[in-house]
Amino acid sequence: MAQIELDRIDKLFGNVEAVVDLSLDIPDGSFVALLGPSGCGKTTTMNMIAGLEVPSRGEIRMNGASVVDVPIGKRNVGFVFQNYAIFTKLTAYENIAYGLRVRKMPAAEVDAAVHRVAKLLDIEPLLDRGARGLSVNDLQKVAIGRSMIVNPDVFLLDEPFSNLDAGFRAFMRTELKRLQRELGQTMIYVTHDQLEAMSMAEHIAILDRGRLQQWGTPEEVFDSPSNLFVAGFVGSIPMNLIDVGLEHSGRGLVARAVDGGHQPIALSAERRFATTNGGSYKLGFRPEHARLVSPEDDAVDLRGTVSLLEELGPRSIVHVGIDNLSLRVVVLPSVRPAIGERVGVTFERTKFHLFDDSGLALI
Amino acid sequence: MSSRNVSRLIVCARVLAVAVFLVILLFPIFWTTTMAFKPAEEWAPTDGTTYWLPADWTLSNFIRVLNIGDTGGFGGIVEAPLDATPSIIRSLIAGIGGTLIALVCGTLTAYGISRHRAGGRHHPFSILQMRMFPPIAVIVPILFLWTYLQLFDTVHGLALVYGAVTFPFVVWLMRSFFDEIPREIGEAARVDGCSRMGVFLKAILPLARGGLATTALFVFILNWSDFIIALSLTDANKTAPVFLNEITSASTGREFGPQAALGLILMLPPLVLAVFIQKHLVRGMTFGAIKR
Amino acid sequence: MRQEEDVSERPTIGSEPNGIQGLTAGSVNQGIPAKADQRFGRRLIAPGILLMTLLVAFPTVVALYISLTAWSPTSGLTWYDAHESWIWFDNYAEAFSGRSLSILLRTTIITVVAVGLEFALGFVLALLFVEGFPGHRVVTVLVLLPMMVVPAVAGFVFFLLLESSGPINIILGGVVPGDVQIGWLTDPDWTPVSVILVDVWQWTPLMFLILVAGMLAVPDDQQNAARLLGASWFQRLRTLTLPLLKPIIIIALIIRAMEAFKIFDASWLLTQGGPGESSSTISVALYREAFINARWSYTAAVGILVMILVSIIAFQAVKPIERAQREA
Repeated sequence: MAQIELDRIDKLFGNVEAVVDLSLDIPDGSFVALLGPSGCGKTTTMNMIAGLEVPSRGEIRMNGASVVDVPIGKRNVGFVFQNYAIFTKLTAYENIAYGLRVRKMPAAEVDAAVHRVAKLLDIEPLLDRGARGLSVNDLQKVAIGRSMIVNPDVFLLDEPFSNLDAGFRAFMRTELKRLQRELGQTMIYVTHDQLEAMSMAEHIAILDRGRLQQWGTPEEVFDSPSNLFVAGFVGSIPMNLIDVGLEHSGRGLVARAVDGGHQPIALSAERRFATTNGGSYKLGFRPEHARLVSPEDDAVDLRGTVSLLEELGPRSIVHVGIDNLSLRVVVLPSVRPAIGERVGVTFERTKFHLFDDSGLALI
Repeated sequence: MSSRNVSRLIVCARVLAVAVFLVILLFPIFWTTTMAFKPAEEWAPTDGTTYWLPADWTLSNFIRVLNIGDTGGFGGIVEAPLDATPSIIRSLIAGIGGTLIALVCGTLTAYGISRHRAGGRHHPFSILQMRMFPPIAVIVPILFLWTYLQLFDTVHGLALVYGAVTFPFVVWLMRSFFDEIPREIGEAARVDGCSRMGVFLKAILPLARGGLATTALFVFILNWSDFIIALSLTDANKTAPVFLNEITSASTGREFGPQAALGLILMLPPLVLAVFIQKHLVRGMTFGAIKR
Repeated sequence: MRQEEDVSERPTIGSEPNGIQGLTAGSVNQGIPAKADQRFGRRLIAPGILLMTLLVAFPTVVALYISLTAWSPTSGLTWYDAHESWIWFDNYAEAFSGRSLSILLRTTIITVVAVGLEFALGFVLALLFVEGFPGHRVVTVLVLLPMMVVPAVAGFVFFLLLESSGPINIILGGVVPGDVQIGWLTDPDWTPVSVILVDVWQWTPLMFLILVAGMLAVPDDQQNAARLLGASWFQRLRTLTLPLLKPIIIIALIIRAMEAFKIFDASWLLTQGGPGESSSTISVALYREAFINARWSYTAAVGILVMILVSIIAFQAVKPIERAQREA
């Protein structure tokens, strides 16, 4: 049960900036995901919280007290490694019991605790097996049990499910959420899979190249991405991004798409902000918030030709090509345009985004 | 004290301990090296002074032991000239000869065991057994044979014995190298029409080049380092280690300097060759049982 | 196509699919080779067998023959006429005398003490080394130097060091109050110690190398996991490293013991096995019988006995070594 604060953390390996100016405030008892592509610094950050790495600059505090000088074994942190790091020469029982035996707990209490944890994770029959005889799925459960048993204040998991088969992965996600809610521990989960983060976490910290891109709830990062990177990273189907120029006209803000012949797209006039007429911007809208219409329709924003149709069962994705641009639109399975057909695309005016040339979101 | 400083202190203590170990370990070599360059007065001073470093560096010991010059009678002690050079040459010849014999026979055998299941299941035991024999137990019987065949006290006779003694070693090592080459390569070569010998010579052997070189160097070091076999099987045609023993135990004078010089010369080839084999050092020393 | 066991699916971590490297013939997924293959195989090992027959098997048979006689080169007979002095098993009886057994005992003690010390020192060195420190690569090379010294030269080197006016006594004299005059090469109580000293000096680095390699084999992740669970350095050593190290230690000890048993060079160069027989190992004692006492028939008998003894030990040792290698 711990609240964790990272205060302007930097981490350098030689000349390589792994983490830059990272500040996070992780509430007690919350489930937080550290999300980002490979090399973004999420594992390094977690290692620093655990104590496996020392920050080059900055402070780490747990429940208000600095932990930078606290040695690794004393931070009361549970850690589940991506490759489980099971002690290969010990049995499952001995693996789980390890943390308690190290603290010299009497054998009877250790036994009770191990069985309790094993029942919780449904691996009781496997306790006597050596690590070599366990399947990958069971090894992961043993790893979790081993960390759980010492009642850590914080639970750190480094892409723990990336090696599991897909069906088991989904199962373990719900199991983990259930455990976290029951035990009330602060859990920090590192992943590069945005779907995993979105489905499990209460808060998400998105990192890219060592820097924090956005901190928010899954809804916030999906609906209001703070920059181009987040917009492109979050969401199972990538957001449509169009280069546009902006101008003020009598009716309010108008965007002109660079591809598609500078068609004027009238945007809502409610948000006013300073723009230079003609500067380069990106307009973004999600395929889920777009519709296919007849190209002659009045409300059409962009016109193009169908290049591909992906039929995915409950919905389909239509790829529309406009000059150099390829847009995606999510449609019902009944909508089946022909390849090469000319179509129009519109998007919801309450759900679009504008990004300036540095990538920051304006809307 | 913060944990960072404590760990730094521990590192210092560890470095210090290793340094002490190192000094103790290297001191004998250091002493021998300095002795090789000491003039006669400094070998065994009777006045109680110890020369940790030569006060008067000199090459005369080397000159004397290799008989490549005149040392001016060595401060008054008139000694018969020492000439270790022929013995060094003999060590080289016997060493190289023995290595070649062991390498040829051993590599063929190792290949046969690795790929053609030759020898059945008995050979692990027999190889272990051969390695465990004290050489002296084997030498006396060979002595009879050698005297009869007039191979006693010859360099080539010695080389033959070296070959036989290091043969199990080559088999063991080369076998572990051959086992690392995938069988598919040999099979593919056979499918391509290669004869069995062709597979060995053209497909497998080039891949085992590194292992072959390492084994050859190992075996040469073993042969170069041999003492007891040469001591038993040579007399006038002695090798360098035997020569060293002779001038060490001779009762006429104690010429530590030239002895140390010879010792240093003897030490050099293995030290130099070790540079090339250090990657496989553990494997070689444990006869392929442990691979790093 | 014949179904072969897919070795890579075996649920083991880091096991050797070929069984014992260097110890067993053939690997798991080798089928029975065709007749022509077997013939070729036999031809391959022919040179080796020829070599061994000429230089090991045949002389051994001759030695067996001689051992049953009282022949010696000074008896005036050629060796194939040795049957003229047939004495059956008298030589063998003598081999079991008290004197021989005491030499055997001494050799065993020297072996055990030397290998034990090498292991202990090598272990301490490995512990100091394993977590790395600045310059450790250079130090590793330096530590290996004693191993590379020709054993005869190693004996000579320690001869220089241990002789009465040599630096060892001087250094000891500086450390301990008063003068130190240990007769390393002359005092029968100290000469075996000198022999042990040389072996320990030469081969501790090998133990060190093997142990360090083994200690490094514990994956970093496991070490980190243990540290995060609060395990101290010592607890990690005991629970993680040592179990992994056990098979390697067994192999190293057995191999080193095999070699130490045969010690000759150091003993001979230091003291020729003397004074008396205080520093004589089996090899030294045999050598003296053969070349100083010219009792070749007796030496032949002892040699045969040693071969039998060694064969029995080797036979017993193969299984533990195989098992240890499988685990390593």
